[in-house]
Amino acid sequence: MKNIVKIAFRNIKRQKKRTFLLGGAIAFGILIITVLNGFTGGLTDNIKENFSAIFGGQIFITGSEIKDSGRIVSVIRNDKIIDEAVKPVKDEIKSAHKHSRALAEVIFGSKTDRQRIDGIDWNVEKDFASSLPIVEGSVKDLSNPKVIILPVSTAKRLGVEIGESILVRLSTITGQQNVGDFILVATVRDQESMGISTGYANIDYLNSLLGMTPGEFQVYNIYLKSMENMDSVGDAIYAGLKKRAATEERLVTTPTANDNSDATDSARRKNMRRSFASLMGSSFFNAKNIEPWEGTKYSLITLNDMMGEVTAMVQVINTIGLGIFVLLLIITMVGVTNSFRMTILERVREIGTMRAIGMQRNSVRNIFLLEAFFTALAGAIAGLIAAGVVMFIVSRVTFSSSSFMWFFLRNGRMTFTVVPVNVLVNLVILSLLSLLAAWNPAKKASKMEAAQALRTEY
Amino acid sequence: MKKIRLILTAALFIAAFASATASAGELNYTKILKSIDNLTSFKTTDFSAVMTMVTEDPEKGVDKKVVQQFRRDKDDKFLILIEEPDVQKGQGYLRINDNLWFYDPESRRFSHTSLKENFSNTDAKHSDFGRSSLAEDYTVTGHSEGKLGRYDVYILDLKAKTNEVTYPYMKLWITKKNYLVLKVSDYSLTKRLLRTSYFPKYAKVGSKYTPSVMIFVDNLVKGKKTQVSIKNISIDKLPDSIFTKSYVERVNR
Amino acid sequence: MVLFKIALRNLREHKSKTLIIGIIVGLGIMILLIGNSMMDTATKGLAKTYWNNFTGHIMISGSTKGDLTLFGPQSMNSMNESIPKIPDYFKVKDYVSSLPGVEAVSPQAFGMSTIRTEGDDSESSTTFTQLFGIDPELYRKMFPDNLEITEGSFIPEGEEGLMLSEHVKEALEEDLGRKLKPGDQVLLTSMNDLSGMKIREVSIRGIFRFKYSNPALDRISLIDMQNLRVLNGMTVTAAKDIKLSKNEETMLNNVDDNSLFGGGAAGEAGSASGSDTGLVETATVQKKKYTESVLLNILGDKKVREKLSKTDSGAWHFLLIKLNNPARARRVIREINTYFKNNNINARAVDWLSGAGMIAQMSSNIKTIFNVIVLIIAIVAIIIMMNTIVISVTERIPEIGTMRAIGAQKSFIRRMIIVETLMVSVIFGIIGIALGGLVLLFLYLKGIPATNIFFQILFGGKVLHPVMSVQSLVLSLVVTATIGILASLYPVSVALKIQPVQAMQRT
Repeated sequence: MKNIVKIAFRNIKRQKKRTFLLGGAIAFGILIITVLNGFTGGLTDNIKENFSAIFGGQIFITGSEIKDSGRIVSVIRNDKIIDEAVKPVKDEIKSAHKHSRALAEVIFGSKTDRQRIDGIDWNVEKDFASSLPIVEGSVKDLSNPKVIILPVSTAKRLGVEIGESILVRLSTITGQQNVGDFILVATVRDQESMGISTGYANIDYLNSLLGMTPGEFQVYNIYLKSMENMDSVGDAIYAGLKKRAATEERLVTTPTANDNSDATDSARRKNMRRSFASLMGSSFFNAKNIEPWEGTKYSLITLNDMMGEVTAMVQVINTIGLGIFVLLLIITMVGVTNSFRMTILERVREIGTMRAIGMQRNSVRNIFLLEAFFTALAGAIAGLIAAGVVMFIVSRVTFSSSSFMWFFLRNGRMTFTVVPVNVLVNLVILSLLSLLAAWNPAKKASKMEAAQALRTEY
Repeated sequence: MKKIRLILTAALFIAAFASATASAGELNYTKILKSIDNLTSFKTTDFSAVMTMVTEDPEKGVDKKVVQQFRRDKDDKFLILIEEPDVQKGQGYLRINDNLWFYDPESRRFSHTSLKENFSNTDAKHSDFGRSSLAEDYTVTGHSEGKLGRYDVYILDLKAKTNEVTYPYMKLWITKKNYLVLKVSDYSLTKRLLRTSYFPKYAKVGSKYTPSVMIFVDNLVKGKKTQVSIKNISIDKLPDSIFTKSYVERVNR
Repeated sequence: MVLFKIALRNLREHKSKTLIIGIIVGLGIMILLIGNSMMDTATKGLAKTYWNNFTGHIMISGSTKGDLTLFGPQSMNSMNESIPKIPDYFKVKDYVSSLPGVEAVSPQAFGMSTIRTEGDDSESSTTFTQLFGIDPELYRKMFPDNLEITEGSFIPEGEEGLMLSEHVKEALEEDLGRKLKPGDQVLLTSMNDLSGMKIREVSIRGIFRFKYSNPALDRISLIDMQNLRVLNGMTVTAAKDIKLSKNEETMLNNVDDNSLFGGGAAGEAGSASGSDTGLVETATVQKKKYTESVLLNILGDKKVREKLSKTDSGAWHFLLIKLNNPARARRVIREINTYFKNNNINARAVDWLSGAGMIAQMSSNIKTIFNVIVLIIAIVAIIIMMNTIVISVTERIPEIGTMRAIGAQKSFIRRMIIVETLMVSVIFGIIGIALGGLVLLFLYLKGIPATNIFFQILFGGKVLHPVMSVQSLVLSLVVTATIGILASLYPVSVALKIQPVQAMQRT
């Protein structure tokens, strides 16, 4: 065996140029596959994250109370019921956060603008601020309760610079006028084109302005481990809520993509109208014929309900990524197979000689297989290294922030999600395929009669 | 929508701060509020006036609007007809009970909005503009005497009784002599000054006083203020026909 | 000729090798052709969809700082920024219509309004619709086939009316709790800076949906321009005439306690204390008899209003242009913009994509990404092809040495090998193209269904029927030939550098 390995190595070394070309082809294939895989992976991750970031999660639970005066107050004072409802699907949840939300008027000098502001507990959601697409300023120090982060277009309209103070006029949950002053620490790329733009502030300070005590909140945001389970987890939590408290009728989830009949179209549109209204904090929908209820009434909505297109987009990109992977694999493998076939054809005489001096058939075959395997392995490793270098360089480039490309980027940069298991699988697939590619020619070679092989004029 | 709000706000203030005639005797600040409240609306008579509103907005420039106003508070009715600018002449807002209609003279059509409905994106409801209930909504938490310009005044600090009152804190400057409200400051829950209203001129209508000039200064948005002057005030009885759709149509013919 | 014969012989001699290289070349070309054709079809599909359904090829608008889209403001916050009118509309339209190659023009404007029905007093409705103000005749000429009218019919030429979006109709019906049908009257109410709130009563002519719709287009209804001008306050007299009296000016300028309530000097204040002097004025109060005639004349002269409310019959936001030949769009845009500049018209012409709004721009961007990916795949394929060819030529170095030894010229050998590889690539390239064409034909006949809304936007329709594009065909042929030449250049030069003897020694 040792000898066979030695011979295989000698062969590889002997034909440096060929080895280099063949290994180079494999390396290039691996490079492209890895980079593309990482790219599409990063793309879908970023899309998911960016959308989740805009909305602050994938599943949202809100609660409302009705006052004697008939005023509906949006507040969740106690999270016990939600906790219980969430428990059965706990394993699916990455994290859950409690946010407050205000529709406010932001004022700077004589300029005003309307802005949705979310209250965030910076201490609990440590990663939240750094995940925002910051344009200007910094979110490193959020210890001052009065810091605010605004969408860049709002800041522009107001003419406010980083470090300056702005006023925020809002109504408490019971309808009282209130004003707070904030310091702008950063601007984020806004998602106005999606019809949403959100500013962020400290939840305790925002709560005090909204007339809520610390610990109370308005929206329970859930980040899932896997976006694919959004509907089932949403349904499960809703069922749990329904068992324990008053609930708002659940919006039908988006019908499956293939279902394009008029009836589901109409249901989908109805759904979108409602979710849009609830998203905008509008009470239009339930304004009429309210039946009073006791305690807190919960409603639940998922990102799918609001943005069915996002999951569709992710699916599309994944499908395309997979297609590309298979295509590249085929192209690379055909190349490898053919090169090997040629190598063996060319070495017929040598094979004949080896067989003539008494080498076993299996050994002849193994020499070729090993040669193929080592070449592929070396190429693959080189390709991986090259891929790492390429991805590192590309991910350093910051793209212009204004474009729509933002959806695919993370903080203006392209990111690559490299899953080690996938890389390993790719390597194994490639090595196996190289062996497979070399198998036939190698077997053919081993079956050659020594005399005949020596006679061959090639 | 802002414009309707302006008109209605102004209309409210005429009612809200038409002051009580002087009442002798010991000072009971809650009583002062009550007496202001009692006389907030012209319960027994009709009311009509022409209001000129000049708004100065540093961003949008100066805007001027002249409206004719008719009110019959005992029936919850009012009609506001726009006289100026000319392009809007004849547009009207007619309120009957809980209904509010807007009339467009060009298309000769009414469009209905509910008073219960929230004003476009604000927490103020149309109905908030209709009544004043200082004594009902506020308690007097502090009082002092002082001077405002050349007038001797009582200065009252008010605090909302419930957390559903739009302005949680208020400060009133009231003349000692006959409890005319000269100045009002509205504060937010964080006690920041939101708006200051001035009532530098009053008109005596029958036994009551009603402000004839009002100035509202937005204390948050720099340079934004509105001045309302009221002319042709009358409390004579108005024909019933005024508060009908058909009058709004006919006056535009 | 000898060259060809030798090349052919060589190829036949090394049958398996020829086949191997050929298969790779053919496969690569096939993938390139199919991928490119699909992308081209999709890109053209999207463009065509927009050209034929919404935008035409060129959009003219008044000049603004920001970007304008036909579909109005793209965000909640920018709703207040108004869209400028096209100045000198009639002149612009005449000029544009006179340009050669202009097939159709259609003016358009954007608006928004709430929609309700008269007598719907019990509960207020909050249904919104976006409005496209159109000239029914020109719109139909420009976009003869962009609507699916589910009920009723299109607004007749020169008449008024509303084409209600199916989506808005459903929302409205939900609000009203009853069904709507063509012939029903609805009230559109909207707010503008100039004439305040405006109401228009219009009759529903038909219910429709756009053939190629997406969420951004779902809420758009079509309305005759006259009604939209009133709603938008697009009047002849644009500016408001505000006259302030002296008193009003000074009052606004001096808002503080002292200037409003007098005083300041202590002594003076003392004397005035407790007095109403100056505070209460009586002049404003009147005895007024509201007789019938007084009441009816309260508004005075109403003719002014009519004069001021007269809408500007040339007020449009956009002018859309459809060309005979879309390829000329860039040139025509330049021509029109030069005309604007020379005639001091403050307007601009842009291509359809600028006016098409977010969704079109987004899918166009996504396509760019996919194009890059196809390109990368193509490069991979090419490199692997070249690699194979290089290996095969390298293997023939001894043979080449022999030929050189028996007196073959360097140039002869170079040409021979080039012809050889070229022949292989061309023959198999053509086979690849033929196979790719077959696959495309199959896909065309069968159609690739768009399984979700995202694919639909990307494909510009519910099914993609890929067509072999001339571009990708030419590209494939060029690539084939280039591969042939490039792939042989390097190894041949290597082979020729070697001395014949040396070459022959290498076995």
